[in-house]
Amino acid sequence: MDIIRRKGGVLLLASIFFILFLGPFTYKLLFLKYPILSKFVENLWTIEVKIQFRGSGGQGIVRHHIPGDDVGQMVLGEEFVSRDLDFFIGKETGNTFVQWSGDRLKGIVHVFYRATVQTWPRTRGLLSSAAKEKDHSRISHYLITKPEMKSISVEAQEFLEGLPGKRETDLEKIEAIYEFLAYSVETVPFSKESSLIAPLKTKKATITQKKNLLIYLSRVAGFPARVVHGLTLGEVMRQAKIRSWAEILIEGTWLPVDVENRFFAQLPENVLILYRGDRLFMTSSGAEELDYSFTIKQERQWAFSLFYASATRVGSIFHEWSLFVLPVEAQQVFRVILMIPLGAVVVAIFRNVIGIKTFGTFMPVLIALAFRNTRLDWGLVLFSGVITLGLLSRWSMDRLKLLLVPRLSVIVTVLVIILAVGSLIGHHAGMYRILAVALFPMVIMTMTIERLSIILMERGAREAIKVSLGTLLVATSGYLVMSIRSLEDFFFAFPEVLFALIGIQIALGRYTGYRLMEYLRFHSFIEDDTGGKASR
Amino acid sequence: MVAGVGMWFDLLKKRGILGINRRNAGFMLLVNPRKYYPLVDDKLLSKQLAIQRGIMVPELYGVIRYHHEIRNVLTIAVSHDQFVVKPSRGSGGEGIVVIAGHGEGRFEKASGETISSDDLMHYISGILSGLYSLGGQDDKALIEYMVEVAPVFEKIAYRGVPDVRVIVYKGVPVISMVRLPTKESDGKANLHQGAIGVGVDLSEGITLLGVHHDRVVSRHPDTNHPIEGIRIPYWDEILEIAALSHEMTDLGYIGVDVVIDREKGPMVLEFNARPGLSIQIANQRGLFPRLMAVDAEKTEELTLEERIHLGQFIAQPERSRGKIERTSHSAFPP
Repeated sequence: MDIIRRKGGVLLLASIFFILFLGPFTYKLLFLKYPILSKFVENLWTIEVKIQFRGSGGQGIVRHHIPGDDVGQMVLGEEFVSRDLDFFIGKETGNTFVQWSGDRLKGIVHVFYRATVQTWPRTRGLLSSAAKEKDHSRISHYLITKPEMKSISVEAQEFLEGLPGKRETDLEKIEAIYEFLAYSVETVPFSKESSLIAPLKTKKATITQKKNLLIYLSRVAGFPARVVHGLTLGEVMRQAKIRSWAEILIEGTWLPVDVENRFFAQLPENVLILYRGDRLFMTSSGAEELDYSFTIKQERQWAFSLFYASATRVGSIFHEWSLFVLPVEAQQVFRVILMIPLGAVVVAIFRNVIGIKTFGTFMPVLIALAFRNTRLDWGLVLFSGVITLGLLSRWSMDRLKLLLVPRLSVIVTVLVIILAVGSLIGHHAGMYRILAVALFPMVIMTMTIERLSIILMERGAREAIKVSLGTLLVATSGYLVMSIRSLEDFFFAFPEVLFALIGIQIALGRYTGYRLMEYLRFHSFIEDDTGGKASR
Repeated sequence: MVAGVGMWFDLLKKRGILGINRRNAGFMLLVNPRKYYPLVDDKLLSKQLAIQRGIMVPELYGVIRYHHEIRNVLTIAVSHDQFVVKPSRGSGGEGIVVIAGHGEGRFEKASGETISSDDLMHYISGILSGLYSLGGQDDKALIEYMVEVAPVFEKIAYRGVPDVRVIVYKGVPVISMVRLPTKESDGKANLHQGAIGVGVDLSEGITLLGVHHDRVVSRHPDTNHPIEGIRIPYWDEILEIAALSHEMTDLGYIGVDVVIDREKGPMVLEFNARPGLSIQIANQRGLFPRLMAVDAEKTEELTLEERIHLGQFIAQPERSRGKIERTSHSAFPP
């Protein structure tokens, strides 16, 4: 029969498209060793510094350190947000800082700094290969012991000579000091002793004293030593505190030594280095009631930068012609564009297999794309809000009896006004995600409003609500599918998957089975058949 | 979950229900060449086509194509007390306004509501702008004869004219229903607007039970008059018109809407290239086995009369799934 023959032909075509996908895909997988999923990045953290102060009415300046790329850590992205202040980023003695400033500051001023950082455990091998000190001019600075301590340096010298253990190599010498401070000196919450070397005799010291003593003793022993400030990273940490440890230069390598947490010549991955030296983390002028806090969050994300690195390692035509070679902005655009066909498949499934009614064919995909910028919750609220306001304006115009095209033009204009006002409100309320309403597809929203109002008038509110909810349901599902990060990475690395999608779309095009909703539609006579319902 | 869905689908299948996907991909797309759609989508064209073939249609009083012609409706109104304004490319009965009478610049709609001549002209302007047309393109407004309800339907139609919908597959009328306007449907004969669909026995033209919003009914909700067992007048002619529409439109799967005028008898209102599937609910019968039975015949070799007989034969419930014995061209029983 011709139906089956035709259907078979279509399925054959669909399989050909599937093979077009499988060919390059398996080649990349087997011979170029592409990973199917981009690697899950562990130890990805968001660090947020929230600063708040009261403006004095004049100029206000706040300067604080920010993390930079370092041994075992890489800053992947940064955000600087403040409504009232300008900022610049500077470098000073190897540290990076940001300075915020503004004039005529009144009331409470908020500043946010946010960084996404990836960290790795820092072992000795990694440290000695990466952290070689190249700037020898600054080393002598880290050997200086303050003049008033001259008197005690003799005592310290004597103490060092009396330390137990093998002390032949430089490393062993420092290790002996570390062992003593970390294990032989008791940690006390506070101490009356003001002398730096008192703990050598009392065997009792505060954390700060221990750290200072470590640096001092190292310098006396002839090793450059410095203090490092950083954060301990945890899954979710509010109000995290800065802590510090020492770095001692041995054989050209700065080795981290932490007597408090007992790390010698290594640092775990849950430590973030902020800055080095004796300065304060934050300094300010003209900022009253200055307060700041750290919030740390562990991110669970697929970072595709690592994937890219692994994909381009091997030279191949597939790499040269992969989307990874595009400029980063074009890559970002393509990451979105490649997901659109997937959204289309979602719409096809909802419409042809489930039987959900929607406005227009691809309206849901466009709404889903807009949701990418607003996120789902705000997207649904904003979209419903804009459509409702647009409908109200459409209704109030109804009695004017305008011709179709001018009427649609009025709706477009009203929408633009709504979006502009909405963006301004969002800006002033500090709700930046509202700004994304400007990315809603306006012309399509206009058509939605027009169609919705006609459905409302001719088929009643029930039908209008049904179609609206259907559209939002499909848009939401489309958004959820299109925003799966690992799928996005997969599509970007294997764009040939689009052929497979064509195959699926063709097969869907010949799906002649029932729609799920048809069960409900024809429900009445199935019940009738089983004798359940009286028909007369 | 999947098993449950599969069970549902089996139930639908057992009842022979034609789903929208199968209608489209399995039948419509195969037998309805796209190029013939404009003939049925444009009511003006299909009306002209019907006239050529000698099929009765409601008389056309005038066509309004451009905005500057809108006032012509007032001229037409001078010589016709009653008329219908409809978009030429409208779908699903949308955009149709029935003027049952007028005077002193006021027009009375079939619903009893009166509108001013400005309202009427604005309405026509909406039609011309494509408000009701498929895809929103510019459209024409047709002004035509208002069909008068045949006596047999008077008690079961609320302020409107019932029409008989026949689905014709490869020239064979396979299923039919009468659509009765209700108060809810505002005198319109469209099921989704609240009209009642009443199944019709194809051989006799006698009404069966009805369906209102997918619920089975035996009486008209507004008049409480029974809707079952009514003999539709001119039934043989209606089936003939339906079967003939296949040759007329060159479409293999088509819905033909016929109205019965009190005096002029049956006339074609419109053709529909995408007829809905609710007709199955109205008849409490699935369409799929009947379409398969038609596919089993060499319909192109049959005469008009044979095709009608074939349709009536396969529509008989007890035989609908049986194989049709054929010894010669016209071997199936009349």
